Amino acid sequence: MEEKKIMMAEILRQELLAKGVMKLVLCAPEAARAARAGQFVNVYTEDSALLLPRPISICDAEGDRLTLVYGIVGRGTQWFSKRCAGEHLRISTPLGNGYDLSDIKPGDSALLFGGGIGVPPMVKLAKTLTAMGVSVRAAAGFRDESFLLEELSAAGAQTLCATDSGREGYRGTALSAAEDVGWSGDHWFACGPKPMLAAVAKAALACGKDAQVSMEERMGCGYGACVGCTVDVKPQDAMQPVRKKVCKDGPVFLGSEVFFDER
Amino acid sequence: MNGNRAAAAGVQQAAKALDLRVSIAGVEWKNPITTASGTFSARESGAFYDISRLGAVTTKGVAEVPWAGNPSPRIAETYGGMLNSVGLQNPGIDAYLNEELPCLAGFDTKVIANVAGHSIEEYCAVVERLNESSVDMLEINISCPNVKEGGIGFGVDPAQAATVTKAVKAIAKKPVIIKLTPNVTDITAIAKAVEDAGADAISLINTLLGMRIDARKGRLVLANKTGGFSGPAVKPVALRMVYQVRRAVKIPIIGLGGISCGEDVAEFLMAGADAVAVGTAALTNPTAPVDILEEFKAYMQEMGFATVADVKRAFRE
Repeated sequence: MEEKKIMMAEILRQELLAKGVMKLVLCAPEAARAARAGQFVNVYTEDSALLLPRPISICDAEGDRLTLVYGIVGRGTQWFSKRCAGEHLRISTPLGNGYDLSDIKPGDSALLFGGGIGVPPMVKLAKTLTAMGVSVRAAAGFRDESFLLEELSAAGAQTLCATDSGREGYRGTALSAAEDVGWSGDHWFACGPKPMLAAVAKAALACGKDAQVSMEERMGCGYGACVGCTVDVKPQDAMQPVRKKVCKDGPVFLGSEVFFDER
Repeated sequence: MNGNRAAAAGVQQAAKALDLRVSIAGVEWKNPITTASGTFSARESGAFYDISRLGAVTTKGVAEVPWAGNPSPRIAETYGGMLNSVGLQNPGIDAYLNEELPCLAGFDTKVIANVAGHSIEEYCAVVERLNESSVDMLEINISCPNVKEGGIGFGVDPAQAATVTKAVKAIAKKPVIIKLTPNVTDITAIAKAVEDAGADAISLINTLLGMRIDARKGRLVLANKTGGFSGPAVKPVALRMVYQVRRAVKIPIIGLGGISCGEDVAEFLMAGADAVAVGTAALTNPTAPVDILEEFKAYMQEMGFATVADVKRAFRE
């Protein structure tokens, strides 16, 4: 059986990237070495009132270092944001399937879409793709304030930024910005809010491509035991939609398989 | 020096002398700890620890045909606990027999299959299939608060609980555990009814019915509106109910509800449980069932208890 672990990871650095967005660098050799683009780790609080792990996407992994970028959205992430360098956090080894890069060849082109707190996994993905000899374009959308644009560029991606408010880059969505400049790609990837994933999936299909989209859902255990986090998908070979576990069968699914308008 | 060595040897002997075996309805478990259904999967939990270390494992509720469960979100955190409204999503008995059970084949532990159904016929259909399988015990879930027909419908009425129990007992070739809901006025009435109807054992408690509202969105958190409340916050309720049921029935009791550490196990045994199940703790910490077992062993050694019966005997009202 595949071995998974929960371990203590030392905080090397924690800093504010943008309003309500934190960057956390951990010393976690086992997790960092195993990490693939699009995977996440469970991070646990030590507040006994907060039982469940917080699944946080992997932004980057280099040597022994694991970088997580997360939004402060509730009591758990608030608790994380107050931890300082030298303290330790309980985390899991990387979980989830990550983006499937098995069909990608050197010389291919890739189009990445990140929305808000869905931008972080694009850094690791851009880095991995660049190293594979793929030309990478990354469109990052934010409500008002951008983050990780330099990291995306440093990862080898041609980067553009869009904000809802128009404060930075294009006013509008990452997808409309990319369409405006006529970007295309052999492989499409996205992580962000559901409406964005739906729009990217649809745009990809219109170009004859199937986007890989990373879904989010409220999780219980975060490792596949409780079946709390499900998404309705319809695999190409199935007649009926099936409920898949986001934590275990995902978080990455094919855009063509996901039912986006269920709710 | 010699004294130290002798002391160390003594500790080792004590470690060897621990006898954790329990017998539940004629099935011997190597220790009194199992998993709570819905929080264990052979494949996913087995990635974190050796399943053979547990006295038994209880698999997720399985029905005659696949169930899709409830819409998402299905999970909400609460103070010291959580709500779930999974609604017994399961791949059905065929997939259970072909995929889940084979994953458990190589392990030295007892397997308890949790059985779900909307009707007596559905419970019985699953039991008939399980009769011919390698599972050691059956746990009949008449207490899921997330399933309207069947599920909790049978668990809140003594007469209906007895009817299900009788029907299952009439065909079951394995010991039958009936899992009770705490969402009743008098749990002892249900416990007595299922004992009289022939149940071999009782497990309690299933989750308590709860709700959460997102005050910023002005919306219910769970798509199903309500969900089952579990975790350390419910432990006092569970313990009280085990205590009451122990005084109402003679059959073995598997106690569960918020067990999070070794001493929690002892509390349930003292209240009258013969074995315990670890549930929500395994979501907080995937290795919780085996960690709690080790803590319980350390507690027994510290207290000078050699057997599970010793722990139970140490309780005085």
